[in-house]
This record gives sequence, C-alpha cells and structure tokens, in this order.
Amino acid sequence: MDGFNIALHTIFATPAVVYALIGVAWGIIGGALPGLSASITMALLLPFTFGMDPTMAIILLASTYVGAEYGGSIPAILIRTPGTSAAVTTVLDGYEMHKQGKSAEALGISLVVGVIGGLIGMILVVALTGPLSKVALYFTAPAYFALGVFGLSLIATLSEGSLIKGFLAAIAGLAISTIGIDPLSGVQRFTFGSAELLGGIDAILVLIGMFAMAELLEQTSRPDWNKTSTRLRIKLPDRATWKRIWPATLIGTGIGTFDGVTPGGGATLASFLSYNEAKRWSKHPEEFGKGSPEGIAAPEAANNTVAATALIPTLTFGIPSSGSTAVLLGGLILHGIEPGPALLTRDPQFVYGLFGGLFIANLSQLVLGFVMLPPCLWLVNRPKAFLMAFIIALVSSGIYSINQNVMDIVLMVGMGVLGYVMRVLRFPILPLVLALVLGGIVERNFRRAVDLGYGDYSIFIKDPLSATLLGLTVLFVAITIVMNFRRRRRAATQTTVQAAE
Amino acid sequence: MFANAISGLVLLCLSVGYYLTADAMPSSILDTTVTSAAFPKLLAIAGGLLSSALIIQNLVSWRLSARPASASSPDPDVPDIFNWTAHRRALGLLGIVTIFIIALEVVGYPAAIGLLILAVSVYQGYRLSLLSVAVAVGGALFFWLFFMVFLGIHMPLGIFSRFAASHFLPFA
Repeated sequence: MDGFNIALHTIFATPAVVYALIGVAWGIIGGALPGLSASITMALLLPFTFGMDPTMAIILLASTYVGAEYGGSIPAILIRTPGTSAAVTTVLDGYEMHKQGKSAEALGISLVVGVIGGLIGMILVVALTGPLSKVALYFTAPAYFALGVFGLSLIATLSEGSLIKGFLAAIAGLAISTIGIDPLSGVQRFTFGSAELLGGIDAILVLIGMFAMAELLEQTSRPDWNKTSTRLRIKLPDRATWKRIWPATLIGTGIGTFDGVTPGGGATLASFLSYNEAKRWSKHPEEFGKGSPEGIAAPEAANNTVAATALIPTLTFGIPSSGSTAVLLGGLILHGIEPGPALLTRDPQFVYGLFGGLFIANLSQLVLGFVMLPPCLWLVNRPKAFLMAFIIALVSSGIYSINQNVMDIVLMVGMGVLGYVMRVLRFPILPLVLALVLGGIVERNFRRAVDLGYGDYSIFIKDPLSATLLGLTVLFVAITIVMNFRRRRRAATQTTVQAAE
Repeated sequence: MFANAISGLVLLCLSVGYYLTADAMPSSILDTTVTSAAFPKLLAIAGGLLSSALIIQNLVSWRLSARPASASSPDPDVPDIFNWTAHRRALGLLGIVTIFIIALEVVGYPAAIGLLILAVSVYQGYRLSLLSVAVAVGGALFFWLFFMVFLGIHMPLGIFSRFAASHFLPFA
C-alpha cells in the first residue's frame, strides 16, 4: 500500500477521525485557557493514551497541538491575554480589533488562516518526510549516537538562558534516564534499594511534572485573568479582507515552514518574525498595532504552520523544536515508536496514518472553531481558582490511573518541584525533558557503537556521518559561545556609555 | 549574587556522588566492552566540568561587576530567587497536594479528590461557600464517574472499601 492509501485507510477504517476531533476540541479548550500552554494541554492527555493504538494516540496528541495553536488566539483577542506563548503577537492587533467591536472578524481571520497554514504545512510534511528518510540507509550506531548528541546540543544552545545551564539540564535528563535496571546487562543502577525505581523513572511523570505541575506551582501566585462577554461569534473574512490578508498569510506560512523544520525554532519565534515581515511588506504598515487584520493573519498562519512542519525534525531526526513537540516525542517513545531517519521505512503505516489523521485535524478546525467557542468562553469566565483545582485533580488522577500507584504521584510532584526550582534558577527545562526522553536511545547507540569498535572510541570519528554530526555540534556550540560573548560585551559597552553620559 | 555559583556547587557535589555510585556498580556477565557504568561515568565527568564552569563564570562576572570603574549591565542569567511571596504560595499548594497524597489511601479517592478541589479553590482565593462546596462535590462525582465507572480504573477507597465490598459501589 502506498502512503496515500494508508492515509485513506486510517481515516476511513479506524477511529482516527474521532481521535483527531477530540484532540482538536481539547486543544482549543487548553489553548484558550491562559496558563495552560499547548505542551501542558498535550501532557495532560498522555496518561489517557496508555492502552491505545500508537497511531491513534499520536494523532490525538498531535491534533491537540493543532487545536491549541488556534485556541491560544481566543483569549489573546478577547481578554488581551495570550492562551499560548505563540499567540503573544496576536494580542497586538487582535485586542485592538476587539476594542473596535470587530472580535468576530478577528476570530474568523485567526481560524481561517490557521487552517490554511496548517494544511500547507501538512503538504510540506508529506513532501519532505519521504526524501529525508532516505538518509536512513547511511545511519549506523555511531551516527545515531552523534545525532542524539547533536539534537541535545542544539536544544541546549537554543534554549533560553545560559549555555552552560542548558547543557547541565541535558546531562541531568540523561542521568535520570539511567535510573533503573540496565536493559543490556541487567545491573541495577541508582535505585538505592528501592523497588519503585527498578523500572526507572517514567518519562510521562517527568513530562507532566515538569510542564504541568511546575506551571501550577508558578501560577498559584499570579492573579486571575480578565473576563469577557459570552455572546461572541465568529465571522469568516469577506472578499475585501481576504484581498488584504493573503500576502500576510503567505508570509506567515513561509516563515512558519522554515521555523518548524529548524530545531529550536518553534511557534513563538515564527509568530514574532512573521509579524515583523508582514508589517515590513504591508501596504498599510501604519495600521499594525492599531487593529490590522494582517497583524493577526501573519502570526496565526505562522504558528499553525509550525504545528505541522515541526513534525519533520521530530519524526525524522528525533529533534523537537519546542516543548509541545518534546511532549509529542515523549508520546512516541512511550508508545514504543522510535523516531529517526528509519521511521518511515520501518513503520509507514504509522507515519502515513498520522499524516491522514492530521489532515482531518486541520480541516476539522473550521467546524470545531465555531462549535468550541461557547464552551471556551464559558471556561475562560470561570474563576481561576476552580480551574486550577480541577487541573490539579485531573493531573493527579491521570498519573495514578497509569499504574494505580501512589508513588507515581509522589514522583510527578517531585519532578514538578524540580521544574519549579529550575525555573527560579533559570535553568531551561526543555533540554532535561528531551534528554530524558532520548536518553535510552542515546545510551544504547553509544554502547553499541563502542562495542562495534571493540572498545575503541575513535569509531565516532572514523564513521563519516558521525564525524560530520559531531563536527557540526562543536561548530554550533562554538558559534553560540562567540555570539553570547559579543552580545554581553556589546551590552556592557552600552551600559558604560550610558553611565558616562 | 552567588545563586549560580551555589547551584554549580550543588551540581558538582551531585556529579561526584553520581560518579562514585556508578563506579561502585557491580559488573555483570552480560557486560561487553562497555560496562553499564561507562555512560553514567561519562555523564558525571561532563556534569562536573560544566558545574565547575558555572561556578567560575559566576565568580568572574562578580569580580568584573565589583570593579569600581565597571558599569556592567545586569546579567540576564542571574536568577532572582528572592520572590518569597511566590515561593510561599507554591509551598502552600505543595502542602495541599502532599495532604491529598496521604489522604488518598486513607479516606479514599472520591473523598480525597473532592477535598483537594475544595482546598485548592479556597487556597486560590475563592471564599468557602455553598458554591465552592457544591463545585467540590460535583467535581468529585465527575472524577469518580470518569475514572472509576467509565474507565474502570481501581482507585483506592480507603475507609469506604468495606462498604464498597458489600457491592454498594460499582467498580470498586
């Protein structure tokens, strides 16, 4: 069966459509609630995917990501509070349109350009995944290890804050992944006699603890968000609006594509860049920030495109571009699907099935965007106290339901505390989570490679692909160090000049 | 001022401890050219080097900023750890979740989840009223129905388990 037939089969012969619809609906709700990012919304679903068919589970998670990117624009437009970080730029013109009484139009633009961006992104994903997976033939154990190191270094260097802290977070994640019985030799590692740790620390506990629990601990000191009218509707753009927003939509889609395939790019960066570029190329740049429809179209097209194209590095190289794709990667590993260049040749049923489900997810937004608006507005208008209470109850119940073990809740809360401390000390969380998720694969390929070289570590240099990837890692880290150094020196010079003046 | 250096010191100690624990691991007959301790040792060495670098970086930037002539800009990587109000609030929430974990197997899931919802909503500033109690009871009912009845998951029933054993509660 070719890819197209597999996708059709998945859509018509499996419950993929149901999971795509549930995922988008849940994603819109999660995205619409300020404080619940796309990654948290996805992480909350993880415990419920246990026991599900892997393809259906990943369709559910990826559809949630798709829905959350649109959902984030609802509070951004209506209450000047972005639901997700990628919707920050939508606030600028969306809220202005809301103040001018054009909320329905603003929501309509966000919905339609999001669907267009998502569909174009999906077409690119289908077109690019095949050729990229052909490089799988050249990948050996040393190259897989080098790819893991390259991916982790990329995320550590691109994460917010200090480079050293990024690498330390990645090492902490790898160290946590070594806890439990070693699958290759059967030796107990770092269990300290605890039977609970024999199986290691489940990635799901870390994902939910680091993303959801840490966020809840941080949210507890923040005030409630503004409330809005519940009598709002969505109005799709008319011809005149279309004529005006299509260049901005294309700019957003183009930048979203580039950012999505770039590890470390992410939807937030794409939104900012596309807003700036749309303003630069607009015939009415003076209207940006004052309620310009283009100011909504560009970032919303960009962040929805990223939700699709971010699948390319995640699936083909195991390198996610954001927290949301890291959760998706965690979902893949939890369901026994090893991402990498060989994924398409090894498991085409999964890959094309996922693509089929995601096409449906993107299209269904057009209907679910309308259907889900009233419940989203109702939820946004509830007191934050109740929403937080229900989220904590859901997180705890979901975690307990996996193994029916109280110790899992304890570990999850422990990870939440670690996440909170890391946030306070400005250590990035993403490298730790990613390292934990990929830790098993990285270590297995490291040991396999050294075994292949009969204990000689120079195999990592002798293998051409491994040497190239490790060389790129060194180059990338060196460039980041130089750039950071220059940035600090420039900032110091500016401060000295200001002080002298 | 020295938050990064202290973090680095803690991580350095952890790296040393991690290395020593890895070094003490028993060998296995299944070991090949690479033992199960090799990768952890590599991580410990990298962790130790990076922790030392973090300490040095913090001390160097402190010395530079301490120079009388220097007017260096504030380092964006230096954490602001003194937001005690936020930490106290987080600690309070942590306390509620801890009590919930302890109560789960004592009073049972439905009661514990209801109390958790009530406690968190009151802690978050919603006054204790008939409505907040009703929301907590409704929430407990919803979670009980969803997890225990719909998903069929065996949640602890605590002191209610004897009552449940006499078949009054389904899926107990």
